[in-house]
Formats: sequence, C-alpha cells, structure tokens
Amino acid sequence: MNRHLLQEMVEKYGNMVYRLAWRWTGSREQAEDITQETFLRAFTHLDSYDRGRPPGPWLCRIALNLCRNRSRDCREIPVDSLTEEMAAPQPGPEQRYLEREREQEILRAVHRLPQMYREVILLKHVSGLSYAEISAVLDLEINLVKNRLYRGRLMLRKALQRLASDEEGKKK
Amino acid sequence: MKDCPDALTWQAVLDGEENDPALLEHLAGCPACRASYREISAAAGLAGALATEATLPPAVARRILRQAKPFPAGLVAALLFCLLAASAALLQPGGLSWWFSVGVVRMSSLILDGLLGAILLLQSLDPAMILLAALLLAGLEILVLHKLKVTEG
Repeated sequence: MNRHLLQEMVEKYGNMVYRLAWRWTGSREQAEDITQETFLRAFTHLDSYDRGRPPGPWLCRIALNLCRNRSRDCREIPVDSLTEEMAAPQPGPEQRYLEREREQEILRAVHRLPQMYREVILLKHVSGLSYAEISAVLDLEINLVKNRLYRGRLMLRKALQRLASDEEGKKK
Repeated sequence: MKDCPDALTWQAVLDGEENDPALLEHLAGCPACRASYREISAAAGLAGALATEATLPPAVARRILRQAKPFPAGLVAALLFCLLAASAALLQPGGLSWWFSVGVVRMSSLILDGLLGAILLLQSLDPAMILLAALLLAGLEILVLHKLKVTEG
C-alpha cells in the first residue's frame, strides 16, 4: 500500500523535487542523490504523514533540509553546471549561448543571495509553490514569505544590474 | 497615492495570489502603482529564468522504488531479544536460572514483547520470513518451557 503511494508520489512530484535540488546544489549527481534520499525518507515516515494534505510541500521540506545539510558540507556551488541540461530548444547556437550566459549570471546572483531569500525564490520559481505552500515548507507566516520574496527579487535585480555595470566598466 | 495598495499586494497580483478586480481597476488608473508593478514584474521575470524543464532520470525513479523497503522493526526486536538472552546466558551462567525463574515466570512483559514483535513481523516481513520467525519463536518457547521445568523442579 505504502509502496503504491510512494510510486504515485515519485511520478507526480519527482521532477519538482529533482529541479529544486538541482538548482540548489548545481550538480546533477547531487540532485539525484537528494531526490532519492527525499523519497526514501518520505517513505519511512509515511505513516506519520497527514494524508489530507498535499505531499508537494512536505517533500520540498524534506528536500530543502537535505540541501541545507549539503550546503553546510560543501560551500562551493558549481554554478557553471546549473544550466547544462536546460531543455528549451533555441533558434540558433549564438542566441542559445547568450541565453545560457544570462541564465548563469542569474544563477550566480541567486546563489549569492542570503539563504533565507534564496530558499523562497527557489521554492516559488523552481518548485512553483504558492505562498501558502512556501509558508508550510519553511514554517513561516505568509506575510514573511511575501516579504522575503519581494526583497529577494529586488536584491536579485540589483545584483544583476551591478554585475552589468561592472562588466561595462571593464569593457571601457 | 495615500490609498494605493502596497508593493506586496502588487506582487501577489503578479503571482496570481490576488484576483480582486478592484485592484486591477486601480492599477489601470494609477501611474505610481503601475510603476511599482512594472518594477516587481521585471524582478520576478529575472527570477523566472530559474524555472527548468529538467526531469528526474527514470533510472533514479526505479532506484527509489527498488530501495524503498519497510524497516524490519519486528526482526530487529526479535534479534535484540535473542542477543540479550544469549548474552545473559553466556556472560553469567548462574544468572540464566535466575533470569528464567524470576523473569519468565512472573513477567508478562516478555509475553507482551513477544506478541508485539510478532505483530510487527507480520506487518513488515515477507511470508517466508514470518514463518522463519515463527519457528524461531516456537523453538525459543520450547527452550523456555524446558528450562522452566528444570528450574522449578
């Protein structure tokens, strides 16, 4: 019974957990490990899980805890690998290259944000969770989630603007 | 301006968390709010580049399902019991008779432990393992009864 439920969870939420872990760690291998560990932990604690609630936030919470632990163990995030598998097909190699460059910039900037902002941004934009779901994952009030998301986004924008002006300065 | 909703409200509108038509009406007629909305929208657009279509490799999904096995709590409990009983017998031979005379005769906890272990075994083990465990328990019971008979004369 539990195995059947686990299979359903993997099918439905596997990608979501994998994407979150991948964006967090920047490594496909680590993301696979974290995804596997997330579902195995979920399976172990399935009996204590409230089945009336959607499992997405619960799984994200487990994955996020594992990601935090990995971050503590390994401070360096290999950002260059973060875009290696971006699937969206692009019209030409040059445009594709430019878009990848841009993505890498954004990812570097995200990884330089303080963790509390980074978490909210990743849960919103990578996992696609609602405010209420993010609030459940992080155990925060919704207003705090909104605030962190707002500040995080603005910080990201400023960081990218600063980066752009630095590069322009170098060219001159 | 004084009655304008704050930036967090516009963010909620942008994220689809707020659908009040009055807000959209206000946005259409308020340049300051439109500017605020545009700023939030631009920042959110940048973060939107993080979205990815990457998919979990099927091999990983299969590995997860293969490795997902319930923890054999009953088996662990039975092994622990056997280990403790064996250690009591081996470490202090004289203590074994005490253990059986005082422990087994009086205590219902051993019986309860046995029942609990059996229930856990039934929940978490394959039929072959259950049979094996049942045989072990039966053997243990025979041994206990035999010892009791010897101890009580």
